[in-house]
Amino acid sequence: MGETLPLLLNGFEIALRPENLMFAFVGAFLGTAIGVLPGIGPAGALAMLLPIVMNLNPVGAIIMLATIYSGAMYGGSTTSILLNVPGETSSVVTCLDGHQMALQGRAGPALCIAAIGSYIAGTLGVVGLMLFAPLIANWALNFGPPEYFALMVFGLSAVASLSGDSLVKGLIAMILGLMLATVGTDVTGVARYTFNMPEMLDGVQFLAVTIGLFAISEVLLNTNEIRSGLKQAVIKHKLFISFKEIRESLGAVLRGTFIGFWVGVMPGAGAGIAAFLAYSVETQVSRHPERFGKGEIRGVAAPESANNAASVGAMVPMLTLGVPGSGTTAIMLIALTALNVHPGPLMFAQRPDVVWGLIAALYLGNIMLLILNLPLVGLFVRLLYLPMRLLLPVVMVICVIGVYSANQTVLDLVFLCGFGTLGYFMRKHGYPIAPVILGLVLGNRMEEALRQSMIMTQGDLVTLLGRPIVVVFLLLTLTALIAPFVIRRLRFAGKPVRIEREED
Amino acid sequence: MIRLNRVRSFLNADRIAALLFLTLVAWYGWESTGLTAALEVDVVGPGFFPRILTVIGLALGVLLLVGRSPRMNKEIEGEPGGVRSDLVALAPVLLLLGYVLVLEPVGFPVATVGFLAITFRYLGYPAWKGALLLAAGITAVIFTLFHFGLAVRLPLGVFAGLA
Repeated sequence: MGETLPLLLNGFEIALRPENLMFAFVGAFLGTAIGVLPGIGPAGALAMLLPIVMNLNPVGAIIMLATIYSGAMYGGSTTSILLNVPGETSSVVTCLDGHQMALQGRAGPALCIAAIGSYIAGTLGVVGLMLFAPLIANWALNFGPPEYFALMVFGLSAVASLSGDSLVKGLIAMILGLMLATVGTDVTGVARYTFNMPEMLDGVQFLAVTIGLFAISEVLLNTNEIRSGLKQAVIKHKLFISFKEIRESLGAVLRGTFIGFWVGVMPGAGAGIAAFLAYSVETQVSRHPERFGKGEIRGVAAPESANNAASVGAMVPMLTLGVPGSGTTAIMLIALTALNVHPGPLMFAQRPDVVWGLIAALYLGNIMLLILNLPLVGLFVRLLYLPMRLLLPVVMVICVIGVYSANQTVLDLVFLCGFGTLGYFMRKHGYPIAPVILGLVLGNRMEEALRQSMIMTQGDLVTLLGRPIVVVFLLLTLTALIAPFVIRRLRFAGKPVRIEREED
Repeated sequence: MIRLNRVRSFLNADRIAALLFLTLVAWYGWESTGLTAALEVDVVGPGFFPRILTVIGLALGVLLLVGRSPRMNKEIEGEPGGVRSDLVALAPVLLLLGYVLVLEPVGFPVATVGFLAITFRYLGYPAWKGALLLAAGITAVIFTLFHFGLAVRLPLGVFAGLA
């Protein structure tokens, strides 16, 4: 802690420079603006805004990524409360009490507690990140190739098994991502699956796949949706929350934060499960469980805090091990790698400026949201009434610019169209997208770790079972693969858990 | 007729996806057999990892083909207007494909105005003139932001001489 505080302060010094504050403001604004659109979660918002971010300097880009992430999370809550339209899975629970509060004329306190809860959770999440990330990074320095291979098997399996409504579909998506990762030149210089095209030697461009699968598919899905008939809840009586309401919600915020952070650290679990779990715990510990679902403020505070803390918790494996645990952190990893920043245990030692700059930016994002979003909530809600027939084609043009600007090749744009179409069908038929991205991101490193392990053991992988960390990760993999069957049997707050299209 | 109905009920979306996936994995695995190591010291070889993926992929494909996922019952019945809604949704991607193919020859400004105007109209904008004017205005804003503001190199095509 003594060593990390000066580094964090240095991170704040960088994040608080005027130009970086501007990036933070723009990121929070754009993230919220896209996050309020129904069906577009943080992953979709990040993918749509990647083209803009990739053209900034690395520090500005990292700050903008972090604030877009926070903004998109908050944007989802706004529409959940005001319109009963969740922006992403993690906001579904917020609808239960948040919209009831809005209907009772208490939209102001609901929005306030969502922002305050997110702020407290974000702050405590950053403290958790500060405390645990360096420990995990130090521990991970002892990992050899077999441990890394087992870790990646675990990370991928967890995301594949928990991110869809079918284990087989999740695993198929994962294999598809790993297959894509083998396209191009391998570590020994052999060209694989390149169709003798020089443009393919570097493999399939991450941006084309990510933006295609997340952003273009989102546009295509929205083409079919009718956006009329949304009724805006009237914000009346008071916009701000009373001290009594804050005091009442504080316990829920703290419990939600604790649950959210640790659920977020686990690969695959994500903000959606964190929010469900926090809400469920809150109904159990409350003296008045009958008030939940009827406009109970703690029913907003707990899930909102949990999903924000989970988004910070998800940064732990991504930053310390270089293994993202969700689609959103995988997109952040892609962006960081493109900016020549390589997350992993060595980053804490070699690039502390980036690590702590990012952590400071995440914190800054929360403050931005608190001071920016409440006064502008009316504006963000009006975005829902923008004609989608104008918005969607513009999003597609921005996606094209983002992909084209990386390599200036039309082939990448053709891939963009192809992966957009693939993403559309995958989402429509219940195949999760996050495992494809994770497979693509981790595939090369996984293959390299496997190769090194094979050389170390002279082809006898069974000897790796003598390494305790490998065994632990393999047992965790097994647990992750049977988890969906267990979770399906659990019931949260009297309702079955829905784990569908969890792309955050 | 009965046989046709049986085939139709067997070939739901998941099973079609399974067959497509199995074909892809089979091709992928077949290609991996032709991959040979470039270096003698590479005892593992470039085809080893793809072959592992092939085995797992084939097993998953078969499981999807013969198994029953929670969605299957719904999809056997078919979604009303499913194919039609797919065509409606996929038309913009065809327009996008056309757009990216003409992007370099005609340049970003002209191609974008054309793409936006046609897509606006396709998505229900009432008049061509308005769609074209709106497309031109939006293209100007996007071009200024990315080309001048963020220094992104965009193809100028017919305007290349003016740059």
